[in-house]
Amino acid sequence: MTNPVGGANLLALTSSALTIPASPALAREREPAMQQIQTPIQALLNRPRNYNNIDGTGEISAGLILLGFLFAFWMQIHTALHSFWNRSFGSILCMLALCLALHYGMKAFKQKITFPRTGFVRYRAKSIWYVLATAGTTAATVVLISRNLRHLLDAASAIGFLYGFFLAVCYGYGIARSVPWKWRVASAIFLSGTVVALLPAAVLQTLVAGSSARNDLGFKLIVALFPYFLVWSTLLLLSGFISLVLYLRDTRASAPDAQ
Amino acid sequence: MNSQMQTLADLDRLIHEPGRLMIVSLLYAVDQADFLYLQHESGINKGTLSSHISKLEDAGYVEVLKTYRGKVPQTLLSLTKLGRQSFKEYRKKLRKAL
Repeated sequence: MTNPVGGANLLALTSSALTIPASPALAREREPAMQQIQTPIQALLNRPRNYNNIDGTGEISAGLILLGFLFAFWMQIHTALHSFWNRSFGSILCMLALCLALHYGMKAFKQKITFPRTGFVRYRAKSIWYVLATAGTTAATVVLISRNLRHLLDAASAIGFLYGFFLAVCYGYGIARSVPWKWRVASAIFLSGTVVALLPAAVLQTLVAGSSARNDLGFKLIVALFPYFLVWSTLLLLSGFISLVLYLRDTRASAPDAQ
Repeated sequence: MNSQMQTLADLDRLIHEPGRLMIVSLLYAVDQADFLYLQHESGINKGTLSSHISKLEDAGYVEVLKTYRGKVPQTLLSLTKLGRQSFKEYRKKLRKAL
C-alpha cells in the first residue's frame, strides 16, 4: 500500500512554506506553497473517508444492492401479476433483507479482515442537518419521479444518459480521486450508461420476452432501468473485487503485540 | 515584531511538528481510530508514533484508551475537545501566516 503523504514530504513542505514573504508580490508567489501545504493536510483529513473502501467493500456493497434490485426486477418481470414479487411489500421485504445481510456481513468482514490488517476506525456521526437534508432531497426526488413517471419514461434514454453521468461524477469524486486506476471505472460507468441509452427499444423488449408483459407505468420503468442496473452492478462488483484482491495481496494481519 | 511574525510565533509547536501534524489531522476526521490505523496511514514507525502520541496525550490533545479486540490488545485514540480546538486554531493561523 502506498502512502502519498509521507512525513518527509510534509516536513519539506512545512519548512519551505514558512519563509515570510516581504512584499505583496512575494506573497502572491507564495500562493502555490500555501496550496501545497494545505493539500497534504486536506489529503490527510480525507483519508479516513477513503479508508472505508480500502478493501473494495464499499463498491461490492453498492454492486450487491444494484444486483438485489435486478433480482427483484427480474422476478417482477417474469412472475404473474398477483405473485409475491409483484406486490409492493414483496420487493420491499427482499431489499430490506438484503440491506440487513449486507450491513452485518460487511461489519463482520471489517472486524475479521480489515481491522486486523490496516486498523480500526470509527467515523464521526453525521450532523442532524446533513441527515435531514439527505432525507428531504431523497423524498423530494421520489415524489418528483412518481408524479412525472409518464413523461420520464418518454425521455428514458436522456435520463439514463444523465444519470450515468451523475453516477460517474459521484464515483469519481468519492472513490477515484484517491485511487487513480478507478478513473477507468468512472469512465466505464459513464460510457456504459451512454451505450445503454442509445440501445434500440427492440433490444430492451428481449428482456421481457416470454413474460407477463403489462402496460402499467411501473412495469415500463422496471424494463427501462434493468439494463442500466445490469451494467453498473457488474462494473462496481468487478472493481470492488479487484480492490479486495489487491488489498488481501498487499496487507497482512498484524501480530497481536503490534499495538 | 510585525503581525505576520507574531502569527508565526503563535503557531502551536506541538501540532506543527510534521509527525504530530499527521496524527492530529488523521484523528480530526474520525471519532476514534486505533494505533494500527495511524501507523498504516501515516507511515511512521511504531516507536516514533508512540512517542508522538505520548506528547499529545500529555498536552491533553489526545485521549488514549487501552482495550482488547477479542484477545488482542488494542490502543484506541481520539482527539479531545481541546485537541480539536487547537487543530482548528492551528490551521487558521497557518492560513493567515501564509
